[in-house]
Amino acid sequence: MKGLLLKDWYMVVKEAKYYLFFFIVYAVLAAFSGTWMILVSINMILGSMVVKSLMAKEEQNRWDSFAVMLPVSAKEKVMEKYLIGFGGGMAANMISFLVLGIAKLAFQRNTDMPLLPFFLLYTAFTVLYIAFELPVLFKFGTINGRLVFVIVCGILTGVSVGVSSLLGEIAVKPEAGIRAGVMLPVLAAVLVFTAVAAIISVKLSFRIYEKREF
Amino acid sequence: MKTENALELCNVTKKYKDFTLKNLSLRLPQGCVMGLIGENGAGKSTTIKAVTGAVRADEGSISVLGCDVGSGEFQKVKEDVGVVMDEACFPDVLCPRQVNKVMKQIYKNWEENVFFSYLKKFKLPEEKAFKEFSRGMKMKLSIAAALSHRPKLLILDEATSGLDPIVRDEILDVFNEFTRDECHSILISSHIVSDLEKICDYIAFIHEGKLLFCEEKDVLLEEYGLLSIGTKDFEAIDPDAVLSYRNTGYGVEAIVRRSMIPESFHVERAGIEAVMVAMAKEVRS
Repeated sequence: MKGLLLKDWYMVVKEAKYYLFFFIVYAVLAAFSGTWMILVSINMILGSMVVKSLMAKEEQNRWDSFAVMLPVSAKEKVMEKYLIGFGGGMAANMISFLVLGIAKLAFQRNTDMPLLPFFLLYTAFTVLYIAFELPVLFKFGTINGRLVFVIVCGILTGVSVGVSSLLGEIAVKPEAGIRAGVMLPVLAAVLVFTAVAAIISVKLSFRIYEKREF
Repeated sequence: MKTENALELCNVTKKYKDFTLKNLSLRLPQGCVMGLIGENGAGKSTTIKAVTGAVRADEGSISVLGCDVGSGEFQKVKEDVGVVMDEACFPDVLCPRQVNKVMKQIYKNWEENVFFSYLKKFKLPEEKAFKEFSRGMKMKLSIAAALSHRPKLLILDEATSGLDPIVRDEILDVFNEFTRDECHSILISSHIVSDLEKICDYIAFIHEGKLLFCEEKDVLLEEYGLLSIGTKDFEAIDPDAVLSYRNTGYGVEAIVRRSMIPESFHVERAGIEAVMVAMAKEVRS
């Protein structure tokens, strides 16, 4: 798997500056606007799309068919893509929350938002996004799977903004007396659901990859 | 793993909507070079894909270096197999130096000094991005990579197509050098039959998904020949001896079975390409 990761690293590095630019721009916009959840969600999706972009290039270069003959197991090939996908999404999240944190401390922006639970929530969304995205890409490829991909993007942006808005409401209204009582179970439920979805997704992707012909 | 055949296909069938590879059986003895020839869409690439595991055969069995392609053990055997496809398949942003680093992590047997010696031999720049390479350079890099993990079997799918004669010759020399070791074998498919004629011990001819013949090249060249005679003499020849013929204006040129031609006629050596075309025509008629 190390070799595949190294190859993807070389490919990502070539485009890293563009991704970084957008991550920072969206993070700054998120920190200084009233719609930070949408912008952080967009950033997360942008980061998670790094793996889609890589897979598209692999298809274009026909690396995917060449990789069949490499002495690397199907499991490793599949897991490597999950790692890259998660890495891309998390890089975006970290930049988003770092900027949100700086804005909170230095400019008193969104002071009522507890950042750590939201960071955890967006980590879960990243895993969920990858869990839904990758089986589709393994099954249909990046070209044929683009419609399903757009649908997944739309649904997950909606879900992430919806859930984080709900938690935001709870977080900023402690007087309702539900902050501690609800936020934790919601977060826990999301994390458990994410873990289950991730396990199912990996198994499904592995199955799809093993059956795929090139 | 000691095995007599580097490659064995037994009654392999692969069905697609509009094409079927039917009951293909082949044996490539260790230390030999086999050329797969045939028209476009005849089934050469499907055969190679089945051998590499890129597609699964619907029926039949395939073993590579003594290992069943469908088994879990095949993963290990891939260390001993070098593959070059019709297009170089490295990500276009990588340079040869990076390809070396990636492959070093993938193959246990990777030898970077061998890789760099091939780069030197092929005059390939180490730091230039792959996308800036010409087709010839890309194919050379693919071949260098395929040879740098000490494979026992090379599988080449149209690896010399689209290359100029000088580059092709250079590459054929490398293949010749590779097969000096009696444990090394090559399966090569190509449209350029003259290339195959230079390096192959065996020729397998696939036509419309069926194997028409798989024969030693020398036997094939011995069995078939080119007969140039007058029209009247040609009429006296046994029709079963003639695979194909054409009127030249001065007489007839025919690809014939030598054994069925009277000794009084002079049968010249026919190239594999002429025999292949004649056989394809015979099947059509």
